[in-house]
Amino acid sequence: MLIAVMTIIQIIICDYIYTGPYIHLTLLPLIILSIPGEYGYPKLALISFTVGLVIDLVSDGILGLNSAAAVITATLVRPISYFTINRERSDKLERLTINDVGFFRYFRYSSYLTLVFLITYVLFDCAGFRPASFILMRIALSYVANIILILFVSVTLLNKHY
Amino acid sequence: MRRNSRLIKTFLYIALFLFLEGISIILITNNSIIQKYRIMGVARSVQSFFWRQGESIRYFLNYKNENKLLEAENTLLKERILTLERYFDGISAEEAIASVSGIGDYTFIRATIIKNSINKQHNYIILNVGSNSGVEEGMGVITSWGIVGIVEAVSPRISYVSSFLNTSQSVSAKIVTNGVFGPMVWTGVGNKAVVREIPIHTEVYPGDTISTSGYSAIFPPDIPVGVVTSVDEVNGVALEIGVEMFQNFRALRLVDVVINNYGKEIKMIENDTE
Repeated sequence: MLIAVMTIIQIIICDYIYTGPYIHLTLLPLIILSIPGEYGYPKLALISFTVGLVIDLVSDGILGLNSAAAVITATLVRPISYFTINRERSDKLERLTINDVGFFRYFRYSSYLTLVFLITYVLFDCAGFRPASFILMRIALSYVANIILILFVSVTLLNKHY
Repeated sequence: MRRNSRLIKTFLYIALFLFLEGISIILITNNSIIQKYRIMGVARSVQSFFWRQGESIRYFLNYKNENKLLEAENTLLKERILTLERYFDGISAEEAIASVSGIGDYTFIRATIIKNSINKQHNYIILNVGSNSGVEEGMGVITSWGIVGIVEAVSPRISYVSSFLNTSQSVSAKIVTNGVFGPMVWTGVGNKAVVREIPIHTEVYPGDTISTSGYSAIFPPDIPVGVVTSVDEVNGVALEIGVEMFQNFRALRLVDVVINNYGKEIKMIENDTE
């Protein structure tokens, strides 16, 4: 349900909010992050791929861009959670929230995932025909915009007890 | 047992990742031309790296054959020197040099093959030289044993050659004994080719040598390419000559890209007259 709501919000963002060439606003890292931890990698990867593809299909972008970045991000969800939180704790929790792991850890965790997603997305989108300065600037600005959005949605939608 | 199932699981996860990522990349390349060229460029670089490594290994394993070929080429060159010495007998070296034009009609760029396909109907070859070395589209590629192909596309460091083992490619060839020429094409099987459109009255016999005619401006004249194996009449109006080529395409490694020093002028005149 939550994933469906966020997918709809993402489609609205893609279709109706123009943020300029330097900022790519996306909720996809948050959608991947909110997929229950009890799901194994195959389910996680397939859901991420499907959501990415739906967003690609409905929005105006290049088909396959979001799904490519989503699959890579989904693959790194577990390793990043083990690295930023800890293995035992992240295996126990159904979904990682700010309330459960603390703001700083959650911030680190979502930051890494957002960066992985944005780097993959921007490289597939621009590498080879845009200057490196543009690519770096786009990743940096998109990261700032997205991390604010992700933390805001995490606090309001995902973190019921915060 | 437990370790095995873990290994299988990891393998399946990697396969799933590659599958989903593969689908995404295929979708990207099919939906955006810019991304398509960029991704294909990266793929080609990776591919050419593996080709180069493969070629190095093949070269190392093939050293003995390579030496034999070089020895044979050496012998051929010695024979040609002897023939020329006889031709210039009684003339000093300076006079001999002065009697030929200042620059030759052709110059050559030595190249190494990094990929060679031979099992298709339209085969191709990739060379380790490109526009940085002076290679241009339309140049011929030869060895001492005959013609190899024609350069079709060039990047700064590599060239794509349409191999003569290509059923749609023809080269102007002549019968050495009488100079009668016609288009030579690969039959699609092994090292066999045919020279077509030879006038019916031409005297040609199995064992005669076929060489390049030099009329195409791509290949120098008189490079021996093969030997006549059969002569057949076609509809009673022309002869079709079966040729066994000297060039062994399976053992190819070093080739020469031909630069026709008058090529540009020839093209200019052709364009003007057209």
